[in-house]
Amino acid sequence: MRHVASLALLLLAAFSVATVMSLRGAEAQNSLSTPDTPSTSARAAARAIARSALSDTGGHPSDLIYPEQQLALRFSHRRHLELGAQCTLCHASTATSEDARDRNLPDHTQCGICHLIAQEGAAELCRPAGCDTCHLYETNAGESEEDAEVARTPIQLVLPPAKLSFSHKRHLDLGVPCLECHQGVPEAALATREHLPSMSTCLSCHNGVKAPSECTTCHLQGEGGLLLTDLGGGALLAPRGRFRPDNHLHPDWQVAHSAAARLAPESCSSCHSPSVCLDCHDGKKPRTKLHPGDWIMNHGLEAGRRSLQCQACHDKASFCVDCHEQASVRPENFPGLSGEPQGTSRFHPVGWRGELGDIAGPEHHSHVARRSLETCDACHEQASCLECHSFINPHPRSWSDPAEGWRFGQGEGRMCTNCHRPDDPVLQLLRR
Amino acid sequence: MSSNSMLRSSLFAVLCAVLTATSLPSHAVAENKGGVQATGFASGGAGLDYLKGSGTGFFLVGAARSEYRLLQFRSARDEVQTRQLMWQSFRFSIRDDHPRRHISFETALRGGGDLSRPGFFGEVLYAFVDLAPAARWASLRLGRQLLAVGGAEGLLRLDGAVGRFNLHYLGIEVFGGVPLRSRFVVLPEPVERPTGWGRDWAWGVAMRAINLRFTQLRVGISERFRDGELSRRQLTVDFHKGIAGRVTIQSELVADVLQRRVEQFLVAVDVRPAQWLGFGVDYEHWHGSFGAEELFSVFATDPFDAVRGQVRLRPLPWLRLQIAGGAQIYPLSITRDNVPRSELGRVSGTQRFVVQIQPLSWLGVEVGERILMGTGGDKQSLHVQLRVASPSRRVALRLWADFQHYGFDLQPQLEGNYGSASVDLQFRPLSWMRVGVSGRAIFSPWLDNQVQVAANLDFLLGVRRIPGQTTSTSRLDEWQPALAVKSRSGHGHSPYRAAGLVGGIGLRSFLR
Repeated sequence: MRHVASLALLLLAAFSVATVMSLRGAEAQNSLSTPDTPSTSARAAARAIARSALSDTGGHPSDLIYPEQQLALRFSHRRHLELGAQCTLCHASTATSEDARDRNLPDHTQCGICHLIAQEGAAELCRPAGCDTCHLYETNAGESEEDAEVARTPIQLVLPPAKLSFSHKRHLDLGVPCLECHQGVPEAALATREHLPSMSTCLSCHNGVKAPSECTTCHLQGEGGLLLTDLGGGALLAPRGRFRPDNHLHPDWQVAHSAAARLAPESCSSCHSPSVCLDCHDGKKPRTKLHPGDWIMNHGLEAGRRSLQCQACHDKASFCVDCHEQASVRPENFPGLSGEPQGTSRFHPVGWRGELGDIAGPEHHSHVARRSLETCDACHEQASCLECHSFINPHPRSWSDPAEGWRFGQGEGRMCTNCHRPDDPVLQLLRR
Repeated sequence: MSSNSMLRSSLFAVLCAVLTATSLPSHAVAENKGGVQATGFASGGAGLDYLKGSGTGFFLVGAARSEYRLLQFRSARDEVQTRQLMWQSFRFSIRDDHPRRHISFETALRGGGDLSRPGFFGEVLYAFVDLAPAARWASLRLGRQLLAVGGAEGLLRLDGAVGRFNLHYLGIEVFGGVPLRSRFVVLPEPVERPTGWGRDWAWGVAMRAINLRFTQLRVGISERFRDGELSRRQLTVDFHKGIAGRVTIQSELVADVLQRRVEQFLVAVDVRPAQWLGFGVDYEHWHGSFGAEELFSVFATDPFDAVRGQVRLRPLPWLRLQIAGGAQIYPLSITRDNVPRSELGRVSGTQRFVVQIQPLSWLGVEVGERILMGTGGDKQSLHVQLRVASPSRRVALRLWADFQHYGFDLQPQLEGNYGSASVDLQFRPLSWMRVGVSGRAIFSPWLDNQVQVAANLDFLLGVRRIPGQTTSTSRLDEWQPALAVKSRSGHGHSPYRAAGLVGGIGLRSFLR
């Protein structure tokens, strides 16, 4: 027990150290992300590296969250900012915008304050001089841009909204500077999707302490309140393992997701109903992704190898026994005390049981029992073992060591009474 | 009415439902996109549903699934047995749409039976109430629920309570209740076997490091009692650390405190140095462990250590490769009466190679190969998979074929060729309805021309009700409710039996 206590203390110490170190890291991160802190080139570079590392698309924004845009415009944020313009001069509606679908872009009236461009309807009366200052036109071969302007309307802007739940108003009210999220805009000509915040940027504040960190804080909900994972972009919105051990695209994800379920259960339940767990964990629907189609016929061979660790998904006592019972794959059909069974599907080989006093051959059940006793336990109750082992010593070699023997006697030593009488002097000796 | 005629009429009804549904407008949604399963509703056409909680309304979700399976297999007595199984499962949830506060109720039920035999089974898979204050400093789930606890318990299903308390960087999880065991329902039986209140229960507590970027840590201890006595005391430690988004370190430890045994220890490192390259290596130690009251806990078992590695490549956007392999080593040689049995070997190996090709968004091909060798005999397997979906993703077709050759040292009579071929057709005429038909042919050394057929019909209905307006995924007059197959005695003496799959409505026939 002393070793166990030591182990527990060691783990608690590790937990504490890791927590403190991570806390220090988090504090450092928080101090970096304070809105009042001025941006530096080093910080910008570090963020660019982090953004690149945390993205699946080489630092480019997610196509799912920020769909492709068509920006047929000539515009320079850098030049406008150098001339002294403020963000809110052109993007005035952000102060009241509470929906990511709001465009918050300047219209002709706002641009016209400085540029004195033709107003709406002017194109019907005269040539729309000044449109090409900002807008682009498609030109055919041999056609001048001037002719193209007369003949056509400008190339349409395509600016799909971000598939997020977002309030500019709330962030501005809290004093978050524009450049905290839209990094790089002052150095850019045309602001593109590259200047929209990545998830890493969002999480620098939305860490559960400074601001809420639930998935639904930013991501869209569908009916039922779960996250909307099908955003219409071809692929589904799914974690990639950047922040938690939850890379859904990892080839082994379907058999190795238990750690994520323990470490961050609230993250799972953001998207999944518990019924999804039961699709596999209750065995009602065989998954050929995990098991081949004829699995019901040959799973025993794999189970014998323990290579798939069946118990990770299946309750051994309930999952296996019922089926075997129904299919008559049960002890009386195996070689044992009831004799050799008939039929071609005999499971255990001849020699499996062995004879008392013989040296066990390679097919003897003891070898498999030593290698994977839990496989035996999948089909057999302990009564099967007791048929013979109540009079054949099952104890391991070190059993004669009282300290070793008593190791199994702890927990009231209930398993001992399967064979030993409670008043057995040997048990009394161990309990002393 | 015989079971065959019922089967024919049921399949005819499914066909009618499919044909009718094709004429209805569609909001396409894919069951499977990019290898990830959809979790529910689609975005519903051109516009997205921006459902930010108003705090004044609530969400309702109803889902139903009807499933039919025809199985044929050979018993250990060389008898060919047939099963015609039908389940209906239902899920219902209601929750408020407050952006932060959380109050909800969710339940899932299942009922069904074997069409060729009398009797029903039925069970409540889960039914719980969730409560969380707006500040989210705590959450409470009361009722029948699932909980991932790790180790031998794995996914625990219990009647009880789970509470989580979230401080700034420390989370505390406490659970307790009566654990339940489901029974495998391919061949349905009465499905719940609790051993009774006060005699069989479990509790546990865990501490979690939360709200840390790229870092998670959980230390938990749990106890399981059977027949009123302590059966297991288990310590679990989980750790995950991400480094710069490129490196993931993960570790798991499960210790059986009563047996004083490290049941499982895993440490894995995964590296993604570039968009097209990823690789990982992991080490695992395993030592089987049993409940204190089980005789199996007395027997000595051999631990093993495994080392595995894998490389993932994506040289082209439409091409993915996975190469994996590893070895499983038994540190101790098998002995009998202190005589080492070297012929059994102490090392087994595995190797796997998978190619995934997706030249078009609606077409995917996967070819894989796997070899197992070493202790217990060799196995070679090969599989091919083809996925095709219509451009709107209303229809998805999946073809699968696999072939294996098994060797088995200790059971040579089982050596031979095994394989299967299957086809799976899923059709989603509406965002809230899905129809599926699948068939599977299997061969093995002792079973020829074994066939399985399955059909399913799923509904998913969501409504958001707020004062003055209601939005829904489907209009209520389109909603065809699925009726529960009523569970009667559940022990084989019921005069009723399941009788078909008709548009999500379970029928019953009277057998007397």
